[in-house]
Formats: sequence, structure tokens, C-alpha cells
Amino acid sequence: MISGIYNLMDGSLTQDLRFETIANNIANSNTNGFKRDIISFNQTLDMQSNSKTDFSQGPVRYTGNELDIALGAQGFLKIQTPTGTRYTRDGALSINAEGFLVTGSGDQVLGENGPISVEGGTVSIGQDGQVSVDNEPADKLLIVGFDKPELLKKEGASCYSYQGENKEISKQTDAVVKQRYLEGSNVNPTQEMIEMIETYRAFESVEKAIQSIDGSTGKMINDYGQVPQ
Amino acid sequence: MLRGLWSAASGMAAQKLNIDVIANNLANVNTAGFKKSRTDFQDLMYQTVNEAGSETSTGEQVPVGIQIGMGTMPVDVHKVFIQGDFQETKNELDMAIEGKGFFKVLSGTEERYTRAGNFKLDSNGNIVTPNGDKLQPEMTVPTDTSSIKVNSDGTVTAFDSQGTGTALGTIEMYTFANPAGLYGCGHNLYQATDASGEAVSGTAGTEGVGTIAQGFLEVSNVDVVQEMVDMIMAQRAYEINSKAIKTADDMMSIVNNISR
Repeated sequence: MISGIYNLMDGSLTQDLRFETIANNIANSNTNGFKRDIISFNQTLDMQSNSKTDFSQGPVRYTGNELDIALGAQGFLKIQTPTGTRYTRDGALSINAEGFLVTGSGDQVLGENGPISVEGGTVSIGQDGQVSVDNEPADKLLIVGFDKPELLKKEGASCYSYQGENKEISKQTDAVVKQRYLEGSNVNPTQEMIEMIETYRAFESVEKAIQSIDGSTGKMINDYGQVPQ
Repeated sequence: MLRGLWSAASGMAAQKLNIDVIANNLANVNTAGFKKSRTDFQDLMYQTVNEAGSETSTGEQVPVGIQIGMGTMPVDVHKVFIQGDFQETKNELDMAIEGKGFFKVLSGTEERYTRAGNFKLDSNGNIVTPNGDKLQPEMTVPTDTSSIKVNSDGTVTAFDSQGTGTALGTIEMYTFANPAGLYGCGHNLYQATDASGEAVSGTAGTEGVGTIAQGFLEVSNVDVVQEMVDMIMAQRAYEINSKAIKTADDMMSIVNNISR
């Protein structure tokens, strides 16, 4: 009977994790290039659960800004951060004071020949990722794909690091780039709301079950063995 | 649950900022030379609850771990320097820049840059902004001038009533490596920052600088429809985040009521 309570406690903890994940998805419903997380549970003995990222494409919208890019369904931009190489799908780019193409957080976006200098002039980015300044080719965006996308680890600031081996990273040959567009968050508020309600109710029933076990345990201890009057 | 509560709170704070920026854009829908701002968001750091690759109790490897995100944060509010539309005013001191350049004006002793070309004359015949900041390089229009001609390359000529022209000088244009990094001073003025890079002077009409159109004004580049759509999105995102807070609150209340 008591072990039942422990199982239920595990259940309420996992619903807790699930709720936290949903809250994070909702908080990022307006974050460019954000990919929602899903917590899933295995009904094994050790209650192993895991979070996985849904890499489906977010809605693409027109912004008109020449430094905004949206990537097609596949591929990630490779960027250089102070802590190493990272990958992102956040296409709200900027130019820094040195004239290099950077992300919103100021990390250099890498092209096939390293950081891309776009100093002065009008920047145009072709469908294949070719970056040109005043119609002079500058470099081509390095867009990569992964053999095991599930090994991408979210680092915050819309960046991912790859936990697998380098040989599993390859150039995305079928990458499509749309200049003046941005990819929004792939969080669907309706879905998150429904999952939130589901989580809430699951949590509620777990707590009810705990109460009921507690009640019957209490009954057993206090009522059994009493001599009927 | 508390993490979820904070995530949702960060979402509400972010959307509030988003609304602030949108409201300012909408307020400036009729401001000459105004450039709209946009808020971009990023996800915050993640807490790894269960590392991918760790071993389970049955000796197997966990293929994917558990990462719980901590919400969102605004990463920047930046000016979007898309060209605004041109409005013909026929006023000879109205100038619109078609291209990326800026006018330089002297505000007190500070060098400021602007794209609002609604210039006026002060009592001494100086070409100034509506706030009285002198256009650089300074030029004085003679008192007997009947008309002023500004060419697309920035050369300014004053004509008297006999039709004799006097060259007053050339308006210089300035460009920045990263105009989005400029500091907005209000009054349609911008100041160079470390992020924007130094102002680079250039002649109107040369590559990448742009040309001057006399008798025109560049109107605000705020697109009302776009702002309205963004406002709806921001409001709904705010709302759904508040629902998450409510849910977290209810869940905690359930926990508090387990044992009665």
C-alpha cells in the first residue's frame, strides 16, 4: 500500500516536469526559430522519462528586413560563440561594428570561408545561401545537417551544441534560404493549452489517488482490530 | 513547478516589452524619417535534469536526457532601417534620402545623425532641424534668396530674384556599418555607438550612400497592419502565459491540500 504512494509520487513529479516544459514552450511562443520540447515517459520500472525537441518547421513570415533569413525545413546555421561552435535556426541577423554578419547575441555567423564580412552596401542572400554585398559575392552561408538531430543540446540563446561526433555533421545540400523572412516559433498555443490542461488534470488525479491511499491506510490503522461494540 | 512559474513570468515580461515597442511604433506612424523598432527574443538557459548518454538502472544508455528550459528573454530591440515611403511636399527645404545615408546635425556640441529631412531656416539663415540643430556642414542662406535648389548629389545653390545662383556648399551623407546599433536620442536623432561603428562620410549619389530628393519627405516606415498583427500576437502570448501561471498556482494549491 505504501509503495503505491511512491509510484504516485513519481507520477506527480513527472507531471511536474511536463508542466515546466509546457510553460517554457509557452514562454517562447514568440521566439524566432524556437523548437518546442516534449517530455515523454517510458513505463519501465525506473520511470525513465526524456525530453525531445520537435524540429518541425515554424511559421515563416515576411519582415522586409534585409538581414532576416528563414531556413527551409532542414539545416542549421553554424555560428562561432566565445564558448565554441554552436548551431542555430534563429535568422534575425545583424552586422557588428567590424562589418561581420552576426546573430542577435553578436556571435559571428560562419560561411564556407569563416566569418562573413558584409561591410558597407546592400546585402543580398540567395536561395542557396550565397551572400553578396552590392552584387559582389562575399561568401556562402554554411548550413549544416546532423545524422542524429536528437543529440543536439539546447544551450539557451536559441543555440544548440552537438553532442555527437564531428563526422556526423555534414553540409546540408538541399538547404533553402529566404531573405527578408523570419521563421517564428513552432509552438502551437492550442496544443500547449490542451497539454497543460491534461497535465493539470493528471496531476490532480494523482493527488486524489494519494489522498485515497492515505485514507484507506488511515482506516486500516485506526479502524481494523477495533472490537465492534 | 516553480520553474514553470518563472518561465511563464519571463514570457509575460517579454510580451509586455514587445507591446511597449509596438505602441511606440504605432505612436510614430506619422513621424517623418521614423524607423520602427523590433523586439527579438531568445530562449533562456536550460537545466539538465537527466544527462543524455548516462546509464539507466538496467545498464542501458539514455538516448536523450531531460532538459528543462527557463523561459524567454528579449535579446534586442533594434531599429529596422527599411526605406520609408516618399511623400511629395514641394517644400524646398524638405529632403528625403533614397538609400542608406544619414544627415549630420550638430545638437549643441554633439554630433547627431538623422534621416528626417524636414529642415527649416533659422533667423540667421542657417539650415536647421525643427529643433534648431544645424545641418552639417553649416551653410547660410543669403537674405535676398528667392529659391533654393538641392541637387541629388547634395550640392545646394541659392538663387536670388534675378536668377543668379550662389553655391552654398554640399550636404554630406554619412553611413554606418551597423545602423541598427545606433543610439536613438529622440527628436529623430541618432548617435554613433561602438556597436554601430564610426560614421563614414560619403557623397550623395555614390555607391551605397543614396541620393537626396528635394521637395520630398521620407515618412515613417511603420506598417500599421503589421504592427496590429504583432500586437494581437503579443497580447495573446501574454494571455497564454498568464494561464500557465494560473495553472501553476492551482497545481500548488492541490499539493497544499493533499493532507487535510
